[in-house]
Amino acid sequence: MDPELDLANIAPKSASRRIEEYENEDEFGAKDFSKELELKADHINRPIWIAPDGHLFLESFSPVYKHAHDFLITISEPVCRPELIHEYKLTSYSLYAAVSVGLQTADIIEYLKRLCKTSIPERVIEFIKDSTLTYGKVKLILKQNRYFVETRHENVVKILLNDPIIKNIIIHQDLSGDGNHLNYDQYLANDVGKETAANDMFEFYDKMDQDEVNLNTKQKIYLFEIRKEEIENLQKRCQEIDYPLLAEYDFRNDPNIPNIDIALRPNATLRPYQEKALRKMFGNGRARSGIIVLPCGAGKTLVGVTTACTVNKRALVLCNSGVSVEQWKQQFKTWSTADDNTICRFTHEAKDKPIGAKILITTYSMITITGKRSFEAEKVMDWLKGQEWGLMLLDEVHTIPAKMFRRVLTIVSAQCKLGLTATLVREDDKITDLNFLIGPKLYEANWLELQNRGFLAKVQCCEVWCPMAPQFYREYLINRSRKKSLLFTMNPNKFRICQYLIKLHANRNDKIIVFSDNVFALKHYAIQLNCPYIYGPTSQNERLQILQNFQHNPKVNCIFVSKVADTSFDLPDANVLIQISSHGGSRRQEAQRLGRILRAKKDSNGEDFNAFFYTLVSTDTMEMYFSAKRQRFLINQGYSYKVINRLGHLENENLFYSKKEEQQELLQKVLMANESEADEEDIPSNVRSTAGSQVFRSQGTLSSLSGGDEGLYAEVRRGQSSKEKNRHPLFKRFHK
Amino acid sequence: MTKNLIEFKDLTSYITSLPLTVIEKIFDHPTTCLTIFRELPELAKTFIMRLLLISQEVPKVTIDSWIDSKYQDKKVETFKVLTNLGIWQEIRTQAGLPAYILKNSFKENLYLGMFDLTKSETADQNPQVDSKKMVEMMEKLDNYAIERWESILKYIVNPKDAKNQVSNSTKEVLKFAGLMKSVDENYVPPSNSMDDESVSDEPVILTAAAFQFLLWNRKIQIWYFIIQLLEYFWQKKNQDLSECLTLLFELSFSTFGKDYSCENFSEGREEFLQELRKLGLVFMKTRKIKRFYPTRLIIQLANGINSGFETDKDDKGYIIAETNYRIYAYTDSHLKISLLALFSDLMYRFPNMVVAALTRESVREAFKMGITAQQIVNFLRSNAHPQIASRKPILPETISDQIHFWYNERNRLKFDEGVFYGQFNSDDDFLSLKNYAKDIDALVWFNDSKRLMVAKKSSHDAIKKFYKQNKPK
Repeated sequence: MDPELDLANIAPKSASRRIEEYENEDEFGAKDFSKELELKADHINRPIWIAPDGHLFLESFSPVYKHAHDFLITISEPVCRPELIHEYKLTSYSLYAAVSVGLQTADIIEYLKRLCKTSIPERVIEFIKDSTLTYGKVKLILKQNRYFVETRHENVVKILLNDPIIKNIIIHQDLSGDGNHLNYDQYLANDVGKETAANDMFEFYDKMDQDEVNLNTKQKIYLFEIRKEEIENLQKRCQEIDYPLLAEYDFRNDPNIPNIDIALRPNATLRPYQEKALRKMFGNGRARSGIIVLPCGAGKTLVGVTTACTVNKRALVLCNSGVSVEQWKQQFKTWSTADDNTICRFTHEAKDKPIGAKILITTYSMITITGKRSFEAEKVMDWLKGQEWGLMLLDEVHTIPAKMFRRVLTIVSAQCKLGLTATLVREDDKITDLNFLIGPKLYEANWLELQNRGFLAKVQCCEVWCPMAPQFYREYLINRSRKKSLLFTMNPNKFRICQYLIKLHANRNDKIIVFSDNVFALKHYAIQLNCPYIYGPTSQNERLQILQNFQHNPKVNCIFVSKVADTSFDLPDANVLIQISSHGGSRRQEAQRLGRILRAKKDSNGEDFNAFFYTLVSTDTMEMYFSAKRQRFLINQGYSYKVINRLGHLENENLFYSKKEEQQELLQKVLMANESEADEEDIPSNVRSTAGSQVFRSQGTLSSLSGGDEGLYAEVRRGQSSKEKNRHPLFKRFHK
Repeated sequence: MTKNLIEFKDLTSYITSLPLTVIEKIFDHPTTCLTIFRELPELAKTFIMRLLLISQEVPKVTIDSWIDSKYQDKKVETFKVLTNLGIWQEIRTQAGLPAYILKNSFKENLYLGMFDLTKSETADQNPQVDSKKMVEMMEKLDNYAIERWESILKYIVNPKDAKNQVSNSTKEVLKFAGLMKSVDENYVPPSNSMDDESVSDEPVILTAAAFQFLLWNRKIQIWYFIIQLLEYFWQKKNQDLSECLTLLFELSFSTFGKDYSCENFSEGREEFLQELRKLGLVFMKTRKIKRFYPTRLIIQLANGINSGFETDKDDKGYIIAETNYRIYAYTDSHLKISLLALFSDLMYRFPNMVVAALTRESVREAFKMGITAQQIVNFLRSNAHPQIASRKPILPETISDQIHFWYNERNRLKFDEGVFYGQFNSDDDFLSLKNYAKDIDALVWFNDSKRLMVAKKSSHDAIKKFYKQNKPK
């Protein structure tokens, strides 16, 4: 594939299709569909409404909720899923995902008709037709080292066979046909009879469940072989004619890549939702590429390990930090029969010998770094490039910028790609590109449901309002924007509340993590409160040591971390999280951080909540805006934030900074801090150096230049002007 | 802060609040006496029943002996009610002992009402009524009544769009009752404003009280409105209140589906009847045909007005509020939707459901109209969809908290009274007083160069005293 291929060409043009805007507003400014839609007589028994603009509303208390939910999650994107009424949205991407797991245009419309309380708006039907008619119709499969194009549709075969470019790529079995009168039936592989229509509604729902698995065996299948060397041309051409190829990997019949002989250990039990996710991936006995979205702590790693065991081919695991490389290795050893000989780490620090590895775990930056490598690393890279991988697992896939991801794809050739993530949101909305780079979203779990079923900790989210100390507020108002953030983070009232909360939870024997994006504050808080802290420059060894102490040493109840710990730091015992400063209004960061304490807790004592997530915000500052924005994702997942605007008894608690003089001193310290200290931690990373043409200066340690520093943060892009444009004016000001 | 802006007065307390002269007048009718009797507390009813057929006074000691001393409180209360309503009078027996006797007019009319009401004056309807026709009529009356009453509610919620549906006099009563207020203070009504032919287009909006009013159930709404109407007739139009009241009571004893004559009505009664007609409480084909049908709305009033504030059982809840600030309202009623639109942004309207979002802006719009946070929260709670009615709390805590926070946002300035001191003769004077104020923790603000200071008002006396004591001679 051409690495410089513009991103725009990756997605077929119909991907940008939208439903026409609707203009019929009533006197209250609402979009009024009450005239247009016809209410069905038995509407009470049906669970959904469809708005002509593609939004769907689902009653979660409906008796057919389970069926409807499974269906909607397949064809649409969840917008918000609180307790009772869920909102979904039909997008061309979600429909693409639906057809790629085997649903057909007519099925989608028929199911919707049956589930909907009202008539279905014409425009929605048109939209579904437009978005699905050509998608997912053509599959590229690799069987016994031969490439085949598979389709179930006669008209599609006609189009493909008559296309001037594709015609030449196909290895014709019968060359006697004269172009116009090709005998399509010669490509017919099997014919297994027709579908029978379901009479009863409930029968229909059940059929819907099974369909995903069985559909493929029910209809005519056309297969034709193509010349291997022309694969790229075929893919490009199919994109152009709006019939994107779906890649499926028939791993069972692939003698080309040797099996690696690992299996799940008997102690590895899959939870129902994990099974469901895997079913979507291996629905028809082949492996589909795509993305699986599970909340943090819901066992993404196990899904990854299971996938590797199922495919049973050489696997490459990519994660975004050295710590998580270690954790992946650990998980592989816990859940599967893979041992140290099978698994290799390819990181700056690990001393493994990756060449010839069956499972290779590495970081994105190790693969994509453009700078000079050591001789050995260079050799490993050469080997890695030369291999054909059976499976590529992409951890925290949302964190990687599309360009970097493209680099990975050009370096590594893998038969099947599985992306894992908790939060398919990005502030720049580039997430949709991933759908076409990796594959459609295969499964997305409902957070609240997992929580209610005990697979996730029950978290109480709190927003604690800390009044700004008057002298700090005065400075806040007159200072420049960078200093401002330091002032509201260092607000003595915030410090006192933080100290109070740590005390409170330490007395309950909770394990507390405190997050601060601001390094100045991080150090100050940690040193003052005598707690260990981890941030960018902390060495790998020290990190592991602190984390181990935190896990096992009863005397270490509280650690301070910067945003390096946002993702993939696995801290199973932590159950209290306090956030004192954060990265602007990033919804994803908020969700990732919550994920640190989501892993289900063993001893819940029957309490309502067994984990606590506090965000401390200084009132009347920009933090309030950020906080509201950050919470949106989790609120849409059904979480609710409790606002605490007054914590009692702070005076009696013997906390720091209770006297005005002390506060004044602190203020002086803050004012003395130079501007660069006031910044959020700017984690040196080589993401950007590889990412674009812009020049940027990074003050990094030697280790960071060589890729030893982890934490790839695509969001910190102060230098990228294109991103600035999309930013909310408020944030623009903040990030000047 | 969240105290009730308007109070619902029940019949007894309303009549109690009237001057005795008016009360005496309304005792002249059997229906009124009977209605009042029905509304009285049980104990008062017992007393009256015991006294009704006795023509002479009964000594207080005798009455006391009817009640166990355990229930002293109740007895005292009952005595008070009966005295305040002027139902009985306290007199002395010949022996000089305190005693009670029922007021004559009340006694006679109650007697008539109880045993002889069928001969009531308005019961002159045609005995041969076709039952099928009557059923049709009942349906028609019900629809008419509800449509009329809803149009008044619609007007309250959305005065601009519904101004043609409500008569000018009703609008006046709404303003009088404090449910609507004028936006434009300089508005001059056209000369023919009280003429029902032209529509008053005075710009008005609803008040906080009106929002509370809308949250009540229909029975209480009507009763509240009628009392306001009575007051309006009495205070603004100098009408004879007893005439209106007796008409009201007679109506409540009438039979649904039958028509009555208003041929011999006095002018005051006629006018009051017309007003009730505008509210949908009675139906008349035209003004000229002097016959009217009372609707169910008014007849129901007589049965247990005091039954309380709870919402009607048949009026099911329809609102689901979610933690993501969405409101899903299962309704197609224009009135309910407009109520919702007062404090939320409507997003989608389906044939049987509306999607709305609570936002800071939308809620603040409501606050600007004087609606309080508690009122919104109560509204969402009391109209909760059956699906969430069993949930605890019914309304997610986040939502109710947030609404309160948005409300409190508007009241962040705290006002304390203070005393301003100035024109000191010398720095020493100023400093000594300032230091004193500081010592007793009363100093609020000062300016050394201009010799000005502000101290807490509560400490003013102490400061004054200190100043006098240390006054330079």
